[in-house]
Amino acid sequence: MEAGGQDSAIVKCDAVVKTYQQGAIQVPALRGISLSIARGEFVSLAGASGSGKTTLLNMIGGLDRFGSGEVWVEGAPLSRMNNSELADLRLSKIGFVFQAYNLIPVLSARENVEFIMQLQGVAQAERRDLSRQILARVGLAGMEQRLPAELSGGQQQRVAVARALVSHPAIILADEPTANLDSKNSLELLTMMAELNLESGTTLIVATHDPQVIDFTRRKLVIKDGTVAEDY
Amino acid sequence: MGSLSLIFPLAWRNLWRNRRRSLLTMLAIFVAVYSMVTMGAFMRAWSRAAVVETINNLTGHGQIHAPGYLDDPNVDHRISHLPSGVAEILTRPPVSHFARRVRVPAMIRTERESAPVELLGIEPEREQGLSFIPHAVVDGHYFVSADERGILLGEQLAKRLQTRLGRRLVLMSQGADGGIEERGLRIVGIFSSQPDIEKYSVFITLPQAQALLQIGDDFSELVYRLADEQDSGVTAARLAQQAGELEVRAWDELQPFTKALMEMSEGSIWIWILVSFALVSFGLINTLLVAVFERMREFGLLQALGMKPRWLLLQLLIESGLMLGLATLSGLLAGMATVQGFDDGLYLGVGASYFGAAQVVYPRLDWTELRLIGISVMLMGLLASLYPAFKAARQVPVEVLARATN
Ligand SMILES: Nc1ncnc2c1ncn2[C@@H]1O[C@H](COP(=O)(O)OP(=O)(O)OP(=O)(O)O)[C@@H](O)[C@H]1O
Ligand SMILES: [Mg+2]
Repeated sequence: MEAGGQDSAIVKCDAVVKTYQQGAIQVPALRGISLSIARGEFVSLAGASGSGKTTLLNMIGGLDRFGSGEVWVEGAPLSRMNNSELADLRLSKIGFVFQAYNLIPVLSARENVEFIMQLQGVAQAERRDLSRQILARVGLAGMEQRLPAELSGGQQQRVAVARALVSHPAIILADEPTANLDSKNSLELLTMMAELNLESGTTLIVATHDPQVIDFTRRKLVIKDGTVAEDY
Repeated sequence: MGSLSLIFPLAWRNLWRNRRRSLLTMLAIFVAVYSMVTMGAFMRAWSRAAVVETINNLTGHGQIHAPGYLDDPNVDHRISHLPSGVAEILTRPPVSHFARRVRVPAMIRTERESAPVELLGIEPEREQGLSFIPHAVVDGHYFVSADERGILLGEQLAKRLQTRLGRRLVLMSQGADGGIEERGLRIVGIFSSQPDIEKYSVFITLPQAQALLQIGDDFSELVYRLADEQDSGVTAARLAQQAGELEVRAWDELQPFTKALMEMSEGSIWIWILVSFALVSFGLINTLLVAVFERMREFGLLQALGMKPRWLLLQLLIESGLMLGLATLSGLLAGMATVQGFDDGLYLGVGASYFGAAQVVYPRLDWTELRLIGISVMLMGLLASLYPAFKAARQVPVEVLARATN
């Protein structure tokens, strides 16, 4: 066994294998991923469709169980946590931006942004303040009261990013955050994430096909057939 | 508790997301609760009225007879004197009234017709508050003295005999010595009552009856009434201990039909309650399961964002609790309003009296029963919601999100 989570890595994967069971067929999604990401890094995960990017983010975020290997987040091994502990970990340390389904349909943009803070027990006045600021920053001032169904795909994605940013998690896992944005908006979003990365040392891991995003990040991981093919 | 202020609005808004489905579910619960409240009140009112009617008519809460009278109610089976233990019980609570009666088969003849009847010789004063007869006279008058010479006939019997108030008739019956005794009497009153009493029962005063039958101070039955119907079984048993060879019967032994009617209506209330519970539970389980399956992605998202499984469970329970609460409350209120609306009595029609029930029943609200219905519907409903709620909470967040991507 390697030196576990004892070093400065905020995320560490060791020989992580994930195989999906689809009926009688075994679908190998991750075939032994090992990597280490230091606190404050801004990393992109590139790779062909179906290469395993989303699966890897899910493993790091404790959203699903892996078959073998181990994932450490801030030194804590995820395989030993129960579902409730994983929920706590996600709530306290990780911000998510998902590929498609991101917002709670019955909550307004502002309420969606405040959701995590509310789970964390942040006082209402502070929540209001922070959510107004962050929504303005992602260009959604004046749309605070809209329900997700009343926002465009790109606007919904920005609400999701705002929600991930607002509580300053240690790690943000973003899956195709720019998929629904034009290049101007993408750039704005990236700039914002980069600022956050610099300001508060948030570790950013972004799965993407978007060359603009890949160019933007300092470290680039390329996933191929469930393994790390390139790291530069 | 910060999370409750988060979960509650989520639950509330999700309730109105599929308005039609939620409203239909609530309608089912409403109907179930409403019908339990109203049906319970009306059925009980009906059987209570039947009991009161039976007791008021001539049965009382219990009777004492000479041995053999109940099998063959004739002049040969008479009570000559009451044991002192019996007399003592009769004069104390819970006994509120008692009276002696002669009660034997007889014949009536007018100029045109004759008819078999049941002759009752009564103590006019003592029947006050004991039976219906003092207040049932609709034409003429009730007996004004203890030994008045005259007869009371039912309206239907008078019609059948083609006679009326003030006319004379001949009353015949078998006397103590076995011979037929007869006496001419004037009709002093016509009474109205339920059909079989109106057709067959005629009333004279006790001394007149004793004189006619030549039985001295003997009588056929002693009837008593209690302050509370609940005591009828115990009192009958106490009387029986003191009665020697005399036979004591509580009202429900004398009128098994009324007793059966009461049990039947109680039984049908319970069957309806069970049916309603099934309706509520299946309706809720179905609605919630459909809702849960529709919202799998959402539950996955909530969990992915850090909401714990047990909070999800609670959210689902609050959703169904809100539906249950709103529907149960309005069902209870509507049921209460309906029952209250018939405070002055519900007229069932003349036909009802053929079944031994009263023509007018008075439904009453029973607070214990209302509470019981409210609480048990809520509990049953929440219990039924547990399964769909567990299903929602057991979702692995990523599976749910994976489904959304394609
Ligand atoms: N829930 C699942 N059940 C079965 N197979 C799955 C499941 N999720 C992913 N897979 C499979 O695992 C492999 C990796 O999928 P993954 O979603 O991680 O790819 P990706 O790199 O994110 O692709 P994309 O760029 O299209 O988002 C694919 O072959 C995919 O079909
Ligand atoms: Mg993906």
